[in-house]
Amino acid sequence: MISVRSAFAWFSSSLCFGQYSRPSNRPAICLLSHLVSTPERSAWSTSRRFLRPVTYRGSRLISLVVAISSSILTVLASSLAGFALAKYKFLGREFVFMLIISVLLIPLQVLMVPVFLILKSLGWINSLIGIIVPPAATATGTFMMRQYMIGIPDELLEAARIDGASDWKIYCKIILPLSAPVLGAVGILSFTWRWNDYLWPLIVINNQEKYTLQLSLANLIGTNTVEWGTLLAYATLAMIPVLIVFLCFQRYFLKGSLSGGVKG
Amino acid sequence: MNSSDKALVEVNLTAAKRTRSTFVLAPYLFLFPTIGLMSLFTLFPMFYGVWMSLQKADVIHGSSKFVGIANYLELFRDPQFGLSVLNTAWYTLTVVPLIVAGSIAIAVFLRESRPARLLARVGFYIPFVLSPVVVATSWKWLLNEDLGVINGFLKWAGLSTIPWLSSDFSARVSVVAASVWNLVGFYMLMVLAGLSQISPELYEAARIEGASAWNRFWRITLPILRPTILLVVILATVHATQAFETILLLTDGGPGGATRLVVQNMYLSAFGRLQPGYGVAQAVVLFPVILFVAWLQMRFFKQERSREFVQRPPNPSWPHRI
Repeated sequence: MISVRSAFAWFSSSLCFGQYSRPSNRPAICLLSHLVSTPERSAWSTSRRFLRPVTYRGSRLISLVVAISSSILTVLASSLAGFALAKYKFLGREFVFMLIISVLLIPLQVLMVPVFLILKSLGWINSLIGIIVPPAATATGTFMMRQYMIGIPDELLEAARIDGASDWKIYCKIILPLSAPVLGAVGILSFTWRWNDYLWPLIVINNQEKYTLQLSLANLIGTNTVEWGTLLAYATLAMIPVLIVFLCFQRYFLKGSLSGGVKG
Repeated sequence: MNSSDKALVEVNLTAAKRTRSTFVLAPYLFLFPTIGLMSLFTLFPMFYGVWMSLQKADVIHGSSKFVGIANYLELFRDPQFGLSVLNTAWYTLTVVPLIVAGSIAIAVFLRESRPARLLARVGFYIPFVLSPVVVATSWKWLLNEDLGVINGFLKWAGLSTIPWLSSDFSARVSVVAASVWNLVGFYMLMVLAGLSQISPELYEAARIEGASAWNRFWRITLPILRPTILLVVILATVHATQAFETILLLTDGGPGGATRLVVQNMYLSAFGRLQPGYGVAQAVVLFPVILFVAWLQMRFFKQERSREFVQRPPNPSWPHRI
C-alpha cells in the first residue's frame, strides 16, 4: 500500500513542485493528495520539510548555469573547429580529424584519476569552471558541424573573401547563420548531456554547496534513511527539463542514433 | 575571355594574395579551443595515467615515489580486482545478448504494429535520455526491500518477498535488468533503421512461396540485419565494459562486491582507498580491451563515412557524453 501511495505522491509532488513557495496558489491535485494520503505521508509535506533548506534551490540553479553555459561553449568551440575542418585545406587536416574522432573512443571512465589530478593542479576542483570548461570540446559536436558545413557552397565564401571579409567575419556572418539547424542540434544534445551528467561533476565537486542537481539526488540515494517522497520529487525535477527537450526535439535524438546504425 | 573577365581575374588574384596570410593561420586558430581542451583533458591524461601507474603515492607526506611495475604485479595478487574482472565478464556476457535479443524483438514487433510505432519508439527511447542518477533512483524505488513496488506486488499476491539489492544473485539480476532497460531503446532504434532497409517485396515473395512468419524472420530478416546486429554487439560491449554510474548508485558494488565491476573497483582504489597509482594501473589494463573494441568500431565507421547520411560517428558514451 505504501508503495502505491508513494507512486501517487511522486506524480502529485511533481505537479506542485513549482508552487511550493506560494502555498496559497496550490493546484487542486495537491489538495487531492492531502485528502488521499495522511498529511505526514504526503509528498507535499515532505518536499516542504526537506527541500526548503540549502541544497535544492542552489543545486537547481547550479545545474542550469552549468548546462546552459557549457552548451554555449560547446556550440562555439565545435562550430569553429567544424568550420576549419570543412572549409580549409591545411597541413595536418586529416590527422586532426582522425585525432578528434579517436578521442571519441576513449571513455572518461578510464581517465578519471589523471583528469582529477590535472584539475587539481589547475585549481579547478570545486569550481564551476572545472565542470563547464574541460568537457566543452566534443568530438561528436565537431563531427556534426563539419558534416553540415561541408554542404555550404564554397562560392559564398569566395565571394565574401573577394569583398574583403576576414575569416572571422566569414564565420560570423556566413557560416553561423547558415548552420543554424546544426547549431541547434548540438546545443540541445549538449544541454541534455550536461544536465544529466553525473561522472564529471562527481570528479570535480566535493563541496555540498556546489552540488549539481544530479549530485544532490545521488547524495540523497546514498543516505540510509531514505525519504521516498523527497527522493522521487528530486528525481522528477531532475528529469523534467530533459524530458521536455527530448519530446520537443525528439527527431534530433532519434536521427542521431539512427545514423550510426544504418547500413546501406 | 574578354577584357572585363581578365580584369576580374586580376582582382581575384590580388584579393587572394592579400588574404593569404590570415588564410593559412585561420584554421589553426579556429581549431585551437577544441584541440587544446582535448589535448589537456583526454590525450595528456592518457599518457599521464600510464606514468602515474608506475608510482606509489604517499598520501600522508603528499609525495610519490617510483615503484616500476609493482602496481601491476599487485593486480594479479589482489582478489578484489580478480572479482571485479569476473563481474565485468558475466555482466557483459549477460547484458549484451539480452540487449541484442531484446532490441531485435522489440523492433520486429514494432514494425508489425504501425499505429503505435512513433509513440512506442519514443517510449522505449526515454530511459536512454534519463540521467544515470534518475535511472538508479527509479530502480531503487522499484526494488526496495520493504517499501518497493515489486515486493509490494509480491506481498499483495501472497508470495514471499525478495531481497532484491541485498543478496548476491538477485542484486546481479537487478543490475542487469536496470542496464538492459536503460539501453535497449537505443539499440532498438538501430535495428528499426536496419529493418527499414529491407524491401517489402522480399517478404511478399516469401509469403507467396508459403514461408511461415518464423521462417521469414530466420531466412530474410536476420541475414539482412547482420551488419546492424554486429554494430549493436560492438556498441553494447563498449557500454557494458564501461558501466559504472548506474551500478555505483544502485548497489554501490554490493553486496560484498558482487556487483563491483572493473571501473568501479578502479574508482574505489583511487578515490576511496587513496591509491591513485594502483587505480590507474587497473585502467591501463582495461585499456587494450577498450582499444580493441574501438578499433572494431573505427573499421565500421570507415565503411560508413563514405555515405552521405552519416550525421555523427557511433559514440559509445552517447548520449551521456556527446
